[in-house]
Amino acid sequence: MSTAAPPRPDLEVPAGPPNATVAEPSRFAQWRSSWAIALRMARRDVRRHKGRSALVVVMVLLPTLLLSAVVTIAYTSDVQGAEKIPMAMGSGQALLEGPDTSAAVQGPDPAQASGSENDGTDEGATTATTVPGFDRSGDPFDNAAAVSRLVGSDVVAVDEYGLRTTVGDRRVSLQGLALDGRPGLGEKLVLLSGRWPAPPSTDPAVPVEVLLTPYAVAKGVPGTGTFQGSVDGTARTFEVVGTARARLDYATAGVVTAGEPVDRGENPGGYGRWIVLGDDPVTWEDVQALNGHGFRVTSRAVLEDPPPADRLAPAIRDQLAGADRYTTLLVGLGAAMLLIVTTLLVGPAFAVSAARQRRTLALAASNGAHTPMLRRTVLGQALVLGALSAGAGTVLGVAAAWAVVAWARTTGDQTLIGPFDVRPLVLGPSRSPPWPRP
Amino acid sequence: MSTPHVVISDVTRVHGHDETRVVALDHVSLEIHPGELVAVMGPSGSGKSTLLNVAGGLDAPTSGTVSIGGETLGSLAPRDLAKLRRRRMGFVFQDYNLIPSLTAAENVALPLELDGMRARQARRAARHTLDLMDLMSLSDRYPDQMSGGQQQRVAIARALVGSRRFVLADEPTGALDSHTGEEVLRVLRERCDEGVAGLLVTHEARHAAWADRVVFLRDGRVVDTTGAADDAEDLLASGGSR
Repeated sequence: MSTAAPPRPDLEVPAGPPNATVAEPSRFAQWRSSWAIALRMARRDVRRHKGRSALVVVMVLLPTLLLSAVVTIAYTSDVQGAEKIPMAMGSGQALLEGPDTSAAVQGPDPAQASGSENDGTDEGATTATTVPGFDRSGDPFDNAAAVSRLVGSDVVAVDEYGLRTTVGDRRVSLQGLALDGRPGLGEKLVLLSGRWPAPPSTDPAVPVEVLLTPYAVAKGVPGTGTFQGSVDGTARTFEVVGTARARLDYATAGVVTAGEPVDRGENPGGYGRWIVLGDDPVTWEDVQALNGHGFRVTSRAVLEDPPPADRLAPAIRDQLAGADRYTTLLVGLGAAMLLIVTTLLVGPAFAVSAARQRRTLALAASNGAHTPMLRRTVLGQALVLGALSAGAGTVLGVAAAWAVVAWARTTGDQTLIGPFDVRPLVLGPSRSPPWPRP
Repeated sequence: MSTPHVVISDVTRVHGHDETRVVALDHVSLEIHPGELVAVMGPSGSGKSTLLNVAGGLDAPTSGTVSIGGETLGSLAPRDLAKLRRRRMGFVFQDYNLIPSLTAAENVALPLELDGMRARQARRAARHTLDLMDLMSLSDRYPDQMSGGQQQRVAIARALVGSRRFVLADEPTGALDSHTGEEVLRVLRERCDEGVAGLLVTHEARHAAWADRVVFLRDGRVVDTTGAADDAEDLLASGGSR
C-alpha cells in the first residue's frame, strides 16, 4: 500500500538563513575542519574522562620514559667529538698519544677511528718516522722536551696511575693523575684550594706532594697532612698540599701529582701522552704530520671543525661508516621495541576508548561524517593522548636520566662523566645544558 | 500542489537470509512534502525505525528507491551520501542525541563544520538557528548541563541548521516526561509549518496527533494511513486497519 500526500498548498523547501548558504567546500577545508573537530573533541574527552585518559597516558608514558632515559644515559656515557675536549686537553690545543712504531692514520677523533698506515697491505704497515731526541725507554715526563720540539709548542706530559691507601680500617683505591697544572690547563685541572704540588722527588724518603679531589675527600682521605699509599706496589708518603678538580676520560680522579709519584719501571716503546699548550691550533695537516711519527692526535681545532670525509683514509672512512651503521641499528632496535611495547600496552586501552566512542561516532555519521572523518575522530584522541604521554614521558625520562647521572657521579662511576647529553628523539640536536659536572 | 521533497518508492528491506530472513519493509511507498510532518506508527518490530533509517540513507533498501530533493540515494557514492546528510537532512534520536564533549552551539554547528565551513562561521550559523528557536541561552552549555527536553530541542536545531530541510525523528520524546515531550513536538511542528519536511516515528497516538498525516505500519507493510492527525487515536484503537 502506498501513501500519497493529500493535496497541500504550494510550499517549496525554503532556503536556509543567508549566512548558512553552503558553497562547495574544498577537500582540504573538509580535511582541516574534521581534524579541528576531532582534536577539539579529543581534548575535551581527555579532560572529561580523567581516569581512562590517565591509564592510556601511563601506558604510553612508561615505555617512552624508559627509552628517553636510556638514550640520554647512553649519549651521556658516550663522550665523542668536541665533548671530550675538556677531559682530554682542558685549555690545551691537542692531546698526543704514542708514538707507535708504525705511522698512524686516524679520523677526527682517534678514539673513534684509527689504525696503522698501510696496515693489512702487501707492503705492510709504514714505519713511523723517528722523533728526534725521543727516548723510547723513557717515561712521558722525560720525553716532553723532544715532543715539544716536534710540535713547536710547550707540552705537558700526562699519565694516570692507581693509588692504594688506607682510611681507618678501609682500603681505598684512587685514580691518580700525573700532570703538572702550573702552566694552566683550564677544566682539565683546576686548583680549588692550597697550592700546586712540586714534581715528585726521586728520593723515596721525601713525601710526594699531592692534591686531593672532592672524590678522594668524600672517600675519607685526610684533607691535610700526610698519608701512606702505594703505587704499583711501591710505598710512598703523600703530603696533601691542596684540593683540585680534575677531569679524566672514563675515570674519576682522586689525587693529582705533578709527575710520576714512583719509578714505575720500564715503559715499553716510550709510550705516553702529552698535552700541547699555546695558542696555535693543531690543524688537520699537523695531525697528519704527527701521524707520520706514530702519534694519534686529539686536536681541539679538528674536533671543532672536522675535515670532510673525502680527506680521510679509506680504512678510516670504513670504520666510521661501520660505527654509524651500528648506531643506526641500535636506534632502530630501540624504536622497534618502543613501537611493539607501546602497541601491546596501548592498543587494548585505545580499543576500549574507541568502543566507548561508538555512540559519538554514530552521531557524527548521522550528521554526515564519512569514514575518513570518523577515523580522524578516533585518531584525534590517540594523537592528543599520544602527544601528551610522549611529551611527558620524554621530559620525565630526561629527568630520570639526570637523577641517575647525578647519583652515579657521587659514587665515582666512571661511565657517566661526559656532558649531560639530551637527545630525546635521537634525531634532535645534541645540547649540553649546565647539568652536574663530575 | 508542491513537489514532494521525499519520495520513498516501493521500498523493501530484507534482513538476513534463508531461515533468518526477516522482511522489515515490504513494498512501502511514501511521499513527504515541504511543510508536512508525517508520523509513522506501529507495534514493535513493525519496521518503523527501518523506514526512518532507509529514508535517511543510514540503511539501504533491498529494492525500491528513496529520493530526497530529487536525488536518488541508491545512486550516490558513500561520500556523496554523507554530503547529503550534512546538507539536506538531520536526525533526532530518542536520547543521547548530542555529542557530550561539544557545547550546544558546537553540536548544532557540527554538520556545517564537517562540510568544511570554518569553525567561527559555522558557530555563527548555529547560533542563528538556536536564536530562531529561542535556544540562544543554551548555546555555550554542554549536554550534561541541559535537561533532556533542552537537549532534544538543540538536536532539532542541529537537524535544521544550514540548508537542512528534512528532519527524521525517531521517538524523540521517548525519554522525556509528557510535558517536555509536548514542548519538543511543538518545536518540531513549528519548524514544519515553516516549510521543513518531517518524518516522525512514534508509538504514542497523542504525539502522532501533531502530524499532518499518520502512516500505520505492521509487519513491514503500510496497513493504513490517515490524513487527519486527530484520527490517530481511532487508527491506533482499530489496530491500524479500517
